[in-house]
Amino acid sequence: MSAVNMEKPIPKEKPSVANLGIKLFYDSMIAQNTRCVQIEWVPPIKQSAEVEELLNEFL
Amino acid sequence: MANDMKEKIAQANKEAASCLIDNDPWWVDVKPAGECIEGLEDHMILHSGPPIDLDDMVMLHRRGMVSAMLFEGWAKDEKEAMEILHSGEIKIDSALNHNTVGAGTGILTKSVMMNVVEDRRNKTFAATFPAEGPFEGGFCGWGLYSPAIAENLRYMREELFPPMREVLAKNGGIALKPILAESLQMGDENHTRQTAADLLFDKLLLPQLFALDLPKEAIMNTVKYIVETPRFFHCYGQAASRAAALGANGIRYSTMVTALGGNGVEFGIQVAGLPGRWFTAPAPFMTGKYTSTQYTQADQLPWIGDSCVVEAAGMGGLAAAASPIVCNLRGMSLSEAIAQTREMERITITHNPNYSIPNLDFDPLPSGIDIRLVLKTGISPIIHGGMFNKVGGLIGAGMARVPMGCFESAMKAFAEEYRES
Repeated sequence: MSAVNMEKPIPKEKPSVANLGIKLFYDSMIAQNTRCVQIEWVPPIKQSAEVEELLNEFL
Repeated sequence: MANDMKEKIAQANKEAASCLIDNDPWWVDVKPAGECIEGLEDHMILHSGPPIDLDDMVMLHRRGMVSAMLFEGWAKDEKEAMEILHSGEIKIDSALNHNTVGAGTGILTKSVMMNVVEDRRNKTFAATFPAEGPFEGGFCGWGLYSPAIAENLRYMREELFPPMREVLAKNGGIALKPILAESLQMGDENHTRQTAADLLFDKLLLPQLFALDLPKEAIMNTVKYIVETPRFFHCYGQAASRAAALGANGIRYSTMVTALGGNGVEFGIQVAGLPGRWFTAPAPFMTGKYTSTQYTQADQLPWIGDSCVVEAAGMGGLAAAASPIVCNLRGMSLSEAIAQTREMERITITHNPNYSIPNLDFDPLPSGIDIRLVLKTGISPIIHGGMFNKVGGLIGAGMARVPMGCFESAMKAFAEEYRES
């Protein structure tokens, strides 16, 4: 685990958060009364080479 | 060359999706299945989901086969029914290989009364079995047969439907699309929930029943049956969806899904450009809410039934945003219901301008599942439905994702069919 960067102190103002993906983090922000928007996102899917090839050909 | 192919697919999918969004379904008649299901022969039983051998069927389907034998008088008891079924004398086929839908177990034989829906734009007919009143799933949906169910089937044929047929003969049919469109703006997604559609349907049909020159008791019996049967309209939504999808069936180069269904063992899809072929994978379990805390997934049968034809037509799981009430039963918030429909937008060909939804700021619903987009995004269609107990009966409601394996095998078959050498 990296050490805390003391050159960047914790902001005094409450942050506004945009959360990508896992909704648990969004729920946690809301539970702490922190402004947060949830952005639905999942990592790009990795298909098999055969399906990738078919998609390149037909899509 | 590749661009030519992509252009052909784009054009074909535009044509296929127009069958869904420009459809014009009308309820026009009630007839025995043998007179309105194409290819349904004497001594033939249809069931839900992809084709399956008798020995591989789940208990609910096997019980339904026996029920059908007894209902048609093809066997005198269960033992004789099983002997005849194993002899191969009875033809068994998937309901979705015909112009019908096998909701639940989907047990259908020639004498079952069916609602007939004509799609006047697509020039297609589809037939679905009606809700069995006090028995709900009853014979067709749950594959059950008893003296009381036999009496109800007789009652439906001889007493319930004649007044309805008279109304339809008088008015030339009842248009279903306006009911679907309005109910989607009133909280139905038209798979798990038909509360608004039922009321709109009743508002249209009941005054016409009262206007018939028939004894009051006969009319009141029919009215009582209709209003006391939960989700009475469900079968009309399925028939309208099936008739629309049949319009797209066989459009060369189209990658649009035209049918979805499970048999409790496997789940299958059909694709417009590959008519008559099934692409299957193990049937999924549902997630959602059970009717009692005594139930767990161990009690649940994997997906059985073809009612997800409504998803093929852009309702149900694709229309989650229209029905936060249904989604809330699974513990979802309104924003999550909206997110579900927005996710489905990523795997569909187009939007249906007839179905604009208040919760989407009046954006139209997505329509026409494209197998290519499912594979590209890794997003599988969400289908809504009822959970079946392994030993019969409903034990909950929820959702499932169509298995990705269906789309992979469909894509490979599509390439084999259309790849230009």
